[in-house]
Amino acid sequence: MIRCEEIMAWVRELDLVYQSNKASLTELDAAIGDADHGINMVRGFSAAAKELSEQTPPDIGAILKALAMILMKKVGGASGPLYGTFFLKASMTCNGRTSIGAEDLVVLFEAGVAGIRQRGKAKEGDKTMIDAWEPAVRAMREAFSGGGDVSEILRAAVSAGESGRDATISLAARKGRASYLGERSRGHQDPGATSAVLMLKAARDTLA
Amino acid sequence: MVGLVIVSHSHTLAEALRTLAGGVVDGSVPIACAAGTGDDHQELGTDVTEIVAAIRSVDSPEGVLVLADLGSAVLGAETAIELLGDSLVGPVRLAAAPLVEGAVSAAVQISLGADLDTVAREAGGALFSKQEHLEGEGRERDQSAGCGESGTGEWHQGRFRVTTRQGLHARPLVHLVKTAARHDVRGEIRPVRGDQPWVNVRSFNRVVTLQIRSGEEFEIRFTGAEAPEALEAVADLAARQFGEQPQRSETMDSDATRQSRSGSTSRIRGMPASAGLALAPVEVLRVPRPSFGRSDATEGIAFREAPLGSRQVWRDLAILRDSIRLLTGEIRLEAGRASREGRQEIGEIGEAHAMILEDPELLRAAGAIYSTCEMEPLEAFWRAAESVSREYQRLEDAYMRVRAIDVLDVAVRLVSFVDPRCIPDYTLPESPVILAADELLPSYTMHLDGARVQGIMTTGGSPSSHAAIIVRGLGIPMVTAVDLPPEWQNFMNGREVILDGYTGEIDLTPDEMSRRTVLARREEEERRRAERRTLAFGPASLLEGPTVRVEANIATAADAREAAVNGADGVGVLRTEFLFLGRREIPGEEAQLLALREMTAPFGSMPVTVRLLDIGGDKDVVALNLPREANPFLGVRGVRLLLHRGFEDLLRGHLRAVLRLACERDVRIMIPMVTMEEEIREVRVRLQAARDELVREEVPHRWPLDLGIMVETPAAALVAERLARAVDFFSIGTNDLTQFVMAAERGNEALAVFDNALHPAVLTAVRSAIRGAASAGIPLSVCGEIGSDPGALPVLIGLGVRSLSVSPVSVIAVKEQIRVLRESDCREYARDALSGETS
Ligand SMILES: Nc1ncnc2c1ncn2[C@@H]1O[C@H](COP(=O)(O)OP(=O)(O)OP(=O)(O)O)[C@@H](O)[C@H]1O
Ligand SMILES: [Mg+2]
Repeated sequence: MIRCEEIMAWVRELDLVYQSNKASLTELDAAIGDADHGINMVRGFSAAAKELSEQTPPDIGAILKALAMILMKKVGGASGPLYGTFFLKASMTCNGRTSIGAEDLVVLFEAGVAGIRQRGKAKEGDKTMIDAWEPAVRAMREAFSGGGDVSEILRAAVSAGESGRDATISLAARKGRASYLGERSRGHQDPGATSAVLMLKAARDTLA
Repeated sequence: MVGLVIVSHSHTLAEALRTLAGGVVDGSVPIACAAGTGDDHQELGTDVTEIVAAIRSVDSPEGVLVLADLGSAVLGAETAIELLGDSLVGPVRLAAAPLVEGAVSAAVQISLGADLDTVAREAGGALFSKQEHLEGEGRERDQSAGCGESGTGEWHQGRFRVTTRQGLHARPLVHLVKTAARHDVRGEIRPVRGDQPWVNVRSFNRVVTLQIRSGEEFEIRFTGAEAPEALEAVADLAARQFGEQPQRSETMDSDATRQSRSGSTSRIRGMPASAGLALAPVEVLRVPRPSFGRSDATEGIAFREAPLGSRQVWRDLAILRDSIRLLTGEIRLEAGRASREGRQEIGEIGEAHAMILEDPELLRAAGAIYSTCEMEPLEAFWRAAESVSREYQRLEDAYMRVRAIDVLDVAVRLVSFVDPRCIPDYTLPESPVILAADELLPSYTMHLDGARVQGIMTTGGSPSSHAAIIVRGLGIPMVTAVDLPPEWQNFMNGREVILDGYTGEIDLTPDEMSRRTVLARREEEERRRAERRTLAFGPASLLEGPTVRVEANIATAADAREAAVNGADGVGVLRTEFLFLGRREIPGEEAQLLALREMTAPFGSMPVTVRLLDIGGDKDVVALNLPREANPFLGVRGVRLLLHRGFEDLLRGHLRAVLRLACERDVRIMIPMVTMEEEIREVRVRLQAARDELVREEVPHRWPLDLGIMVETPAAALVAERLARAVDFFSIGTNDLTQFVMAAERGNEALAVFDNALHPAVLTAVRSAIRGAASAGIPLSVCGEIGSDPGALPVLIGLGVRSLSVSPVSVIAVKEQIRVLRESDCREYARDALSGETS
């Protein structure tokens, strides 16, 4: 069972994770983007951790919604509206809920990823965060159908997300800033897919 | 005014752009920025919440256009728009436009008062003028490659040959421009010859000046969501010859007829444009030139010491913008009505005029003149129109050249719409005349009275000019392109001449012999026409069968006269909209009574069915200030509007006028667009109240009057039996009934196959109404185009219809057909049609 406390722990963990990976994310972005992805993520999640701890909303839906708005305001890069939309759509699946179970969690992630898909219009293979997200949510659904609990579901998500992320290395970007490089973007791992996997790992470590 | 929002990664860039674009339009346009990220917005990035706030800050009913640079700016703007939902007063759109060029051209458009569609379109197109300028011939390559991620997307391009006789002239162009406008695309067109620039297909006046002639090819390309569909639609249109006749040699146009047969100097010739003979004194008519209170129209124009800023221009031109909107609405309405009544060509001319008038280039040109010259906006508009007209005149293609007059025509109409005093009033003498003019304004020609105007000659024009098309419809003999020396007006006025519309000859000094021949031939023609008419006057009965009433649908006094002359047995539908259309205030009861009385005069004591005001749908009334609806045909129209809150006084005055008219005419009242019985009950209550008032005030009127309904909604047709018990008669409106039953908008070319009143589904609805009427024993008639369709008439009769109301021009033909139909055959046709076996 996941309660507000776990969700808040996830947010704090994300703040810490992105801080410690700030340099590596930015470096990835320097290769095929504008060298700001780590900075963007830190700007967003530090603000989120700070604001949400000052005044924690009463239920999971409200927390995720507040998180969404902060990310949209603070992140600054393309990942702002994308992750913002992720949490906004996710929040709608658990409005007013103070605890959620395994299936709710799968639904939450599915809704969030649908939001990213709709906002960014990227498909798998375009070398974006979608390459990590799509296999991750598919694995979550599969693990749940196979009777897995929250922990198993999130573990499956992480490993599927990691393979997706690694696959971006050989792809040429067709969406986002890296698409300006086209073929020359091959050989580099996508920063967004990397931050997405970090998000899943933080979830695995805090929600299960 | 449309608001503009600039979304950028860079705060500095956005602010600089605001200064740049704002400067172009003198700061007259509301521009907001959302740019940068971090606490002081100095870092590169975008903040969705700031975009939301920026959009809100320039929100207005006209809408907001958002321009974004790239990446997160675009995603952020999309997110912001989604977050705003429908919390804004106006629409908001994110433009697929280059940021800098887009912002500048959007600002210019906004300052000119363009609507959101236009602003978005122009912003989106901003890149292409630059490409055109810089890349010249090389641009071909880029087009085929498309604009990739950063531009508007791929171009879909096609090449077509023009096979219409007159090339891509006004009418086919109307079809083309409309086809393009129906799709969510940006389109450009150019002729395949030399190195021609691409021209926006939506700018009617610019496409016209391309002069794409018969036999030539043109290229057209579209980009945007529906580009493939748009291209396909154009291909389809081209295959149908743009709705025109394919090329054929027509004797009327051939120069052979212009060759002189007689050497006599007293005979001059031109091109015959409309058959017939005329003998009457010449009346010289000049194309009206508005006067704007300046002694000499061509001189004395001072330049402004400093050009006006665009903010002021924008404000001052508001009167033109509004009037253009209203007048195009009115012209379209007339055009739609003409088309629906089978006068397709008149309808198309009207549509072309509407397009000329609403072309933004015209207003822009007026704005440019106004900002630099000391004159009123109206005069600036007139001068802009004159210069556009001159451009047409310079065209090589003779066919297009004659369109110059159409531009002047709409300009004259607009000027007199805004300030009638500017146009010199002109009335024809009472006695018969032959009109002589350099050219005729089509809109003026439409209202010519065939009894007074015996013939027409013009020095300009051609048999294919719009005026000539109209004149042929009126049956007045006409000769165009008459060879007359300069200053001809002086020696022609008042001279009696013979005009031969068959040969194109004009006899300036007719002798007694030819005079008599002409008179004799005219008499003969007149006699034949009268013969047909007398026949029409009698009742029309089926072969060895019952009589079928043929009444007329009338909308104007001219309709009424024509219907009466053609032998209509009464008025089946008197459309009262003319009382309200194009007026700035709602006419009072007295004004309505006078107009209705004059209009029905030709019918004396014959039955007249007055349909209560049917506004809404495609008919907008300025005076009523109706809100726009998303789905006007299914909205507050007809009786719904009459019973709507706020229209109580309107309905009261309207009913009182009709009740008073009934003293003098055999009036019945018909309610339009009825769906529910409550509506009938409520109208009865209001009618009774109006009546009570008249009694109290001792105003003469007649009581009771028959009250009936138009059966034109499927709902009414389905429960006809119920409704029939609540009223005194039914009239089936097949036009609306068809579009509602088939769920297909009328006039949408893409849905033409659904516009079929003979579809078994529609006929089933018609039959239901007929049965309903029969069960209650009330009379029923059918109005709508279907009545004058020779294929449909037998079916209606077979279904049991014994009363029709058709357009005034059709009365004679419908009666003639009825007289040769046999009831038993008709029943069979009806059975087949209902089962869908034939149509
Ligand atoms: N259209 C998209 N759909 C899905 N993911 C996208 C899209 N565009 C970018 N991304 C993801 O966002 C990541 C980059 O995020 P970042 O915060 O660095 O934005 P950015 O590209 O710098 O934004 P900006 O457009 O402001 O330059 C990419 O690595 C990619 O995974
Ligand atoms: Mg970046």
